[in-house]
Amino acid sequence: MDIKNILLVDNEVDITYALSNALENYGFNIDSFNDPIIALKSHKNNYYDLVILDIKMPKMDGFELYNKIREKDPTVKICFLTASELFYEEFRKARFLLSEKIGEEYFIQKPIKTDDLVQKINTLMMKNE
Amino acid sequence: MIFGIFTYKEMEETIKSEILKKLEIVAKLKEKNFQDVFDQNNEKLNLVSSRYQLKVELDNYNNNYNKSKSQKIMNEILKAIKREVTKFEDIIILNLSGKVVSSTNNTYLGTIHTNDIYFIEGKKNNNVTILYKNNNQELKSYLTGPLILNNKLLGVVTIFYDLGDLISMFKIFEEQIETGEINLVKRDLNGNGLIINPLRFGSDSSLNFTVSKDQVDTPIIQSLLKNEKTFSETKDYRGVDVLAVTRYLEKLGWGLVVKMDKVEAFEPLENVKYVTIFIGILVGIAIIITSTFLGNSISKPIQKLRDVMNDVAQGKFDSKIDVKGTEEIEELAKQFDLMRYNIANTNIHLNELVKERTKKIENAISNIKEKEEALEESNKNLVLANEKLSLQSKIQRDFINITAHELRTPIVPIITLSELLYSKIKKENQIQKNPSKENEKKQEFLEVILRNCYRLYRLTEDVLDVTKIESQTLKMNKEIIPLNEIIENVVKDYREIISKKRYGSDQISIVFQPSKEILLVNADKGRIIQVLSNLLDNAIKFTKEGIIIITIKKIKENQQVMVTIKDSGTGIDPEIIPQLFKKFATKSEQGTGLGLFISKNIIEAHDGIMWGENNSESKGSTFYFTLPISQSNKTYDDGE
Repeated sequence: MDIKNILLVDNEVDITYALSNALENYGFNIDSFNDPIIALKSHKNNYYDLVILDIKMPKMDGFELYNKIREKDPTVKICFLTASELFYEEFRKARFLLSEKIGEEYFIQKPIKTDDLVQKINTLMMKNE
Repeated sequence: MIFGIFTYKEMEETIKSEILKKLEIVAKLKEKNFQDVFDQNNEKLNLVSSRYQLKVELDNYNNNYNKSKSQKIMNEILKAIKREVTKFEDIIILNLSGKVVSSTNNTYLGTIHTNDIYFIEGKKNNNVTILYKNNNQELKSYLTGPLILNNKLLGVVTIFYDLGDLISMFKIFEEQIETGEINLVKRDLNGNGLIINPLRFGSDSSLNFTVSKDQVDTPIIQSLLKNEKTFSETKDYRGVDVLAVTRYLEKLGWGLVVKMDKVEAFEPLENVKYVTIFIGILVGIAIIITSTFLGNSISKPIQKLRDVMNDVAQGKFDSKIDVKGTEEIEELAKQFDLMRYNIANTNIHLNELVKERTKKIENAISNIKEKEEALEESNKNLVLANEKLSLQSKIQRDFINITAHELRTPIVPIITLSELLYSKIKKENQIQKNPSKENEKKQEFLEVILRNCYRLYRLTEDVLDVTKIESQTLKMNKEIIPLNEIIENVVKDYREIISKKRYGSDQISIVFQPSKEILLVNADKGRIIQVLSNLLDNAIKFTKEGIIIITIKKIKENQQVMVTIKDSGTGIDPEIIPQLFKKFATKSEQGTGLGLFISKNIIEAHDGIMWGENNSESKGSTFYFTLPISQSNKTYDDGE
């Protein structure tokens, strides 16, 4: 089985550190960034099996970063891992900022047990669209 | 004489137009007063009728779900609204049979108003103002409108408000002007003009005096015909000559007449009327005499005298006569000059009188404006209160959202890294046949850390949920979902958890008895899973070994589904039973004491009910909850 590549962007250093270590323990290859602008510059087209973005970030929020990555790489799977309230009006309104409509399964609430996160990641990676 | 009358007429016109201008200002101010109060009350009514939670509770009340709780919540919402808004009179909420089910004032509760006009009108019309007189013959008013949820009429909301305040402000005008009067009129059932406020002239109290609709020329009927005019030649309801201004209050359908008796308006003129006319006559005679006696041989002095006389006749009183000639003519000129002086004085006096007269109205206007500002201030307060309310709930939502984000974020690396470390050490210990005491201790430490991490995580989510429930911002993301399938999945997860001994026991088995047919409910999937998890967590926690049985069945003529979770554990501590669903009611050291409180609120937000009891024939306890069965086959739309 080939190694899956994941791009992880979260402004919290401790979170990228913890998640990279935990996911690498499960055999994923993780490129993690704390600065969304550097993450965008470093994004490699047709390379990642999944992009995981935080939403609330300074400089550039997750929605904007989603749109910019999508522009560069039309097929890569992108999901959100957020500590924000998923079902809040403001949040749901903010989702309009996305250049395309995506399902609930692309929004993962943190904190999450690593087992559960890995399960969700695998489901998303296997998803055919 | 013609000159005299001419001067008099000119003065009359000046006074008339000045006074009418001032009356117009008063009318405009009053019109604005009433529109503002109408808008204010409308806003108040909307403040009530747009409350989603209130209507949900009324609906629950009507459907006999947990009546006393619904009533309590409704009363609290009404009181909160009343607190927010200055000068908010009592509000009542009537159900469809006209009974007061909620109010800011408990004395109204339970009273029946089926035949009261505000109930009848409120069902039919949006935000109508209704006038009536109470037993003390005081004028009172209601604002009433329907409460509608999802196109369903649930009841009527009525605000009692005091129009008397507004009408008492007419006094400011009437105090300054002896014959000043403001009439507020509406049409009665026959279309005649009914005066709303008590008459100034006459003993008729409010809502008693009518002016026939056939008296089309009267300002009162004109105002009701939506004619906004100034009347310089008209008679009022008494048949007295008045100066009047009319306005039509579009939103209320009422007319407004501001008027003043002509006698008072022209009183300053009246005093000088005869003087002016007399002088005019004198001037006329003088001209006739001079031209008759002196014929065509008009000398310079006489010509000059005539010029001045002409000036005087035209109201120019400042050209002094300096005539030299025959004795008679000098005498005539002297006399005439005296007369000119007198006229000039009278005229100054007259101007002062006119000024004084209009000044009274001006005073009235400035007093009214002052009150106006006070009213505007309270209107502003209302708008602010309204904004504050919506802002408050936005602030509340934002606060919860930010708090949620900030509380969850630090938990992520703690859970993730503890799990990672735990799995590494566990693996290491498994590989080594005889792990060192040191390593066994490490694994134990991490187990404790992890267990408390999860507990902290659970507590964070629970506290956030409680905050949402208490701030009424808990939102249900409802969709049509198959209940059997959802329970099946939750049960599957729990069987796995039990097998992994996360609860320290594998002596528990969970049995699910699904219903034969597919049961669809309109519910928030995540929240229903949360309720099921909470009930299963509890059941497992208090059942060291035994069986947990989940059943699902239709009740209430297939309108509802009832889910039952029965365990064979230690049962509910009798001490706790009365507070079972209250916050922090727990005897367990692991729980947060919030789970059942949250679950019950989630079920109630779905129009269901939840309860629990100890099993009578065996040990353990049973928890129940109901959900309405979805009647439509509509699929869930994201709402976007």
